[in-house]
Amino acid sequence: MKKILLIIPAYNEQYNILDTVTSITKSKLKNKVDYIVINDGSKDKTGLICDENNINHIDLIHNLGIGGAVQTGYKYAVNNDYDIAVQFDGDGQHDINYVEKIIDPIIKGKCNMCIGSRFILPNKEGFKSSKSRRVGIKVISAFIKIFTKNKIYDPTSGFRAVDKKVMLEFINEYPTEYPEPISTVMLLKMKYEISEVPVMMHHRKEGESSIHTWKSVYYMINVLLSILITSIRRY
Amino acid sequence: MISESLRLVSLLFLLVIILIVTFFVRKHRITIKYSLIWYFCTIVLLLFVVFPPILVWLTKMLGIQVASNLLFLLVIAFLFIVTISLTIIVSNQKEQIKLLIQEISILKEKVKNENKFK
Repeated sequence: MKKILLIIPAYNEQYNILDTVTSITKSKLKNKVDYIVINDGSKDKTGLICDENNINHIDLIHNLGIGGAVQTGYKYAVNNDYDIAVQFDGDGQHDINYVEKIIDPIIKGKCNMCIGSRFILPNKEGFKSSKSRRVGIKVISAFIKIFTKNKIYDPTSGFRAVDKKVMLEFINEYPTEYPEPISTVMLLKMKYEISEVPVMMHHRKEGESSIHTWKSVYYMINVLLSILITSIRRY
Repeated sequence: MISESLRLVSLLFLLVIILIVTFFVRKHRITIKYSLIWYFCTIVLLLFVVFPPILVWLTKMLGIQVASNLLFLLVIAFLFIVTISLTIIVSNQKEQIKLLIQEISILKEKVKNENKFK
């Protein structure tokens, strides 16, 4: 039996974190799944709620941003000898019932990372983000295709599972900014296999996504430049 | 040629920079390692100002019209070197701080869990 860990980064998620963790502990999956919440120096009561409800969590002593938080999760996974780590958002966007679908290709050894994708067939339903964001994701996807020759349909999805080899890469180097698309490019450069499986996502329950509309142009320029720079880096 | 007044101003300017850097190095506010780049840059510039023939020769070699232009170019080049090296240092430190935060946080969680079972 493979040891599986869900890594749940949480920054100011006091209204969502308990629901997310309850959905995990109450789920009836075939595989036994552990979880760890990484409280990324939240300014609200996220840490307190984790303490009171005996939620397995690490409090980062200072805010690191999503990349640093997730990397802490990978370090925890390696320290505790997990075989598969799944990144799972603390804001209620991701559905625990898709975890088995995402880890399946990795258990079978078909790939090193498997992304839960909103944009591959047969996936007609579910929350697919706003129109403008879909266009943005398409551009990022096209950019990755140009620089790595691989088509990744949902490179910004934070719902992804990785095997031990990738975990060991991630504890050494994990991008702090825009970690989802950048880590994807990084792995492709390192010649790891990445596949995608269709998943449905929910709307965010509370709070705002970390990508604000007025910042989206800035975000796009940064991500595209970062992809370019990552693709010329030596690994 | 380079005018005497520009020579004098440059000389004073460089000496002030060297004095400031030395002041902070003596007070242990700048580490020896990071003061070196400042000494290196200012001393090279000082050479050109104290011995103008070197500057004039280099100006002709590079096809620059006025020697003072080369002096400004050198100053800008050295500022680039200093800022790029600062960027490298900041990147390094960011990585180190991140590592510290992560490891301490993981340790704290471990200690907390061990105390629970006691």
